Amino acid sequence: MNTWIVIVAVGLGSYLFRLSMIILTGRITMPPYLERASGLVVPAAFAALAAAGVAVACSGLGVTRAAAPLAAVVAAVIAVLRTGSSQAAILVGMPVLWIATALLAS
Amino acid sequence: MVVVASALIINIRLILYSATMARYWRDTPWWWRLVAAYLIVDPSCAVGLNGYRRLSRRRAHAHYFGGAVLLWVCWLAAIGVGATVGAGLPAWLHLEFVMPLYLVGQTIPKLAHPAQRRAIFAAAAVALLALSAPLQLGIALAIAVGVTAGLTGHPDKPTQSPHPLQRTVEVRR
Repeated sequence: MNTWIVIVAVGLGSYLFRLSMIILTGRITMPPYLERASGLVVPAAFAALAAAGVAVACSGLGVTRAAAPLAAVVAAVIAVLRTGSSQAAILVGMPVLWIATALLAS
Repeated sequence: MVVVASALIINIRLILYSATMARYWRDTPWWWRLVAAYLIVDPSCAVGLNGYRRLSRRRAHAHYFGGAVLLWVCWLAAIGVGATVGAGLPAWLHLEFVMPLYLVGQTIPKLAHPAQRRAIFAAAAVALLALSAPLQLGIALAIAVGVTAGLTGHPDKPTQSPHPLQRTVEVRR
C-alpha cells in the first residue's frame, strides 16, 4: 500500500475517533456511570501504555540488563512520590537508566 | 492494511478521550470543537482535564487550547529534529524511554484516588499479560478492563487538588 494512503487513512480515522463522542454526546445525555467511566480513561490508558512501554524496553535485554530500565522506573516512582511533581519521573529516571545501564554493561 | 488496522486499534483510546472531553465542550461553538478535537492526544487530554478540574470553564478552555497548541507545535518540531538529527544521537541516551517515564510520572499522583488506583493497576496488569496480542489489541483491552475495574466499588470523593500527594508531602514537611 502506498505510504501516503496509509498516512491519510490513519490520520482521517484518528480524527474521526477524536470527533466521535464530542458530536454524539452533544446530541444525547450520557448516563451517570459513563460520566464516571470517562474520568477513568486517562489513568487506565496511561498505565497501560506505561506498562507496555517498560515491558518492551526490557524485552530482549536478558535478566541482568533488564534491571536498568526497571531501576529507572522504581527511581521515577519514588521521585514522584517524594516531590509530588510528575516531571521528576523523567529528571530522575533517565540519569538512573544511564548509570544503571553503564554499571550492568561493565 | 495491517499497519492501518494496528494504528487505528491503538488509537481507539482517542474515542474514550473524546468522551472524556465532550462533557466540558457541550456549550462551545462547533468550529471550536472541530479544532479542539483535532488536538486531542494523551498529554493534551491530561493537561485539559487538570484545567477543567480547578479553573472556571472559560479559563479552562484557554488552558486546554494553549497547552494543546504548544504540544502540537513541539510535537511537529520534535519530529523534524528527530528526522534530521535522530540517527546521529548516541544510542546510550535511550531517548525512547522518556515516554514510558512520562506516563509513569503522570500516573503515580492518580494512585491517591481509590477508583483511579483500581483502574491503573488493572490496566497495567492486563497490558503486561496481553503484550503479545495481535494488532496492539492488548492496549485497548487493558484500558477497557481498567475502566471497568475503576467503576466497581464506591466512586471517589471530589478532590480540591489534582495533586493530592503533593499536598501530603507539603504538609509533612
